[in-house]
Amino acid sequence: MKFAARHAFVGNPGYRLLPLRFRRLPWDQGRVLVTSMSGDWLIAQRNDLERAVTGQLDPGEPLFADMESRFLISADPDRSTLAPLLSQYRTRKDYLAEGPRLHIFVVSLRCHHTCAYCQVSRRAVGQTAFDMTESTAQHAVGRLFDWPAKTLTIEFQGGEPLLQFDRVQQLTKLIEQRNRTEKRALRFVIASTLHDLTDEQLSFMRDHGFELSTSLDGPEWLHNLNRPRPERDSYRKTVDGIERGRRVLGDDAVSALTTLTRRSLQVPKEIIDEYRKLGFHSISLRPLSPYGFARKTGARHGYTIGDFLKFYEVALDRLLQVNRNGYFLEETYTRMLLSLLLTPFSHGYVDLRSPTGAGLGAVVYDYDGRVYPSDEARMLAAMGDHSFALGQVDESIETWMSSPGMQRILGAGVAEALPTCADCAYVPFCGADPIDHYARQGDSIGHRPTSDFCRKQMGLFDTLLRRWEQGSSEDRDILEGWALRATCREGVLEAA
Amino acid sequence: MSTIEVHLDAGVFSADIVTKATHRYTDAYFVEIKSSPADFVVRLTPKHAEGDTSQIAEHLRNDVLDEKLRALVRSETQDIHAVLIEAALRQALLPQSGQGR
Repeated sequence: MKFAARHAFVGNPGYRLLPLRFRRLPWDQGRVLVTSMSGDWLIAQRNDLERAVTGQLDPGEPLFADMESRFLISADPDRSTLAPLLSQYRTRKDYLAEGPRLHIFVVSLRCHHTCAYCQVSRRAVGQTAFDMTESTAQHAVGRLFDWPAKTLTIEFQGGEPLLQFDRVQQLTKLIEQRNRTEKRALRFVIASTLHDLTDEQLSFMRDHGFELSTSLDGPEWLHNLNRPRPERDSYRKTVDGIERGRRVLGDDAVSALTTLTRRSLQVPKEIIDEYRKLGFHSISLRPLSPYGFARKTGARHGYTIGDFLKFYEVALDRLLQVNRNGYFLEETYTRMLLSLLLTPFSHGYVDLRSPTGAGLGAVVYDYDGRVYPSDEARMLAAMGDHSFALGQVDESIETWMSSPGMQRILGAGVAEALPTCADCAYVPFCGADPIDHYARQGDSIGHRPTSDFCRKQMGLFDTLLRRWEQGSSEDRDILEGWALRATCREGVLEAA
Repeated sequence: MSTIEVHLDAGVFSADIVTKATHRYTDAYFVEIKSSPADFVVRLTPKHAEGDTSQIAEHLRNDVLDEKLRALVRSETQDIHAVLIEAALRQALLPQSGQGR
């Protein structure tokens, strides 16, 4: 047997460029963040990137190995395999494989609050015409199991779902009964103010493994200001509900999130400290949305994304300080973004998916039998705009997926194909949000230079990348700890 | 509000590159582009009085260079990009009705 000549084993000394995106660092214009199509990344000098793109990298220099290991270049294309890159990409888009996992049941629009920034169109407590009927509930359960997902998160929303708890119980029992043959993994969440929470309701929730998601906007004066009741007892009732929920369901089963008004932006430290005082280990700092009553009162309660980002910097400082002092307290959206930046994994948060999570990651079954691809689409419909309605609960899911509303969403739902996003270094970690852009800009594709969604995402990614790169080793450990913390609460961020 | 004018060599930059780079400025500026065989003239007029415009011309020149580099990346990788995405996501098709378990 003759062996091939020595040169046959040397290989091609060149390299091939792989798909990549880059962005100059705002805090150092001479350097760039370079990301691969699957979200692996490095930071390099801008002129080094140019050398790489123009074929001038020397295989002996460290940057060559660095770029090769992150699938930004492929050395010796004849002998390299790109299978790991495909695997990374599939992992990053893992949420596509099973279809919607988050299913929101709006059991009633009734609510006993009159929050000025309410994102939905609540109804008065006595207006039972705005409750989900038994027939609608049965149809919704049938459709729930038409989806292929092995894990189903069932979230009960309102209005205030505790005002229609009979329907919550009926739906839970119907779903569990059907699941005896379906064998899916079920997770029940109820998004509630927790006011008037009864022992019987808590017992039912305990028996069926419920989690509670509530709204707590900060200190008592701020919460009562944001969520007024004639008795001025909104804070006290919610905190009582949190304590009772924890006693029956366990500490980890109760989470809370804030809605930030203009007044909230002035007190970031007080909001963080309130959550620390109440023993929470996570907080969700949620900017106002342009829906429902929030749109009507926007001039009074609204603010710019720039104002939010200033607030966020101070809040993040406080959170890091709390953690440095030995108490674990994370911000849930920050954890999500860090997880996308620092780990290769997929996630459950529907607003940060591409293709969009609307209809592909979540479905909303409204009280009146209408079906929507997201809570935001439902809110738009409540405002008279049915552009994104999928259909009725007694129709097939195939009908919903081929509806004009879903087609409109899919046409603008892939971030990698949207103007400006297509070239953005952050796009492997970001999402398309066509309904949000439609609501804010009147166009589901949207104009990124003036997009609040884009400003928020870019601002947060820049902030976190800078903190991670320039922060102390202790702060870096804290941020990495948030990213790596394995939880599955992302779907609940939409709640309350 | 004074207009900022930037001249870009048409022998170095294409109309597509200049347009993409200036698109990023449409949040804070009214943008006008005029072309001649020799160059592109970009005029940026601030929409609001406030804001620092002193470095805008330099930023635009950097952005045009970055767009040129992106165009090079795109021309080198767009074919393999499409092939890779198709190969990666081939399995991510929703099952047909009734097979969804």
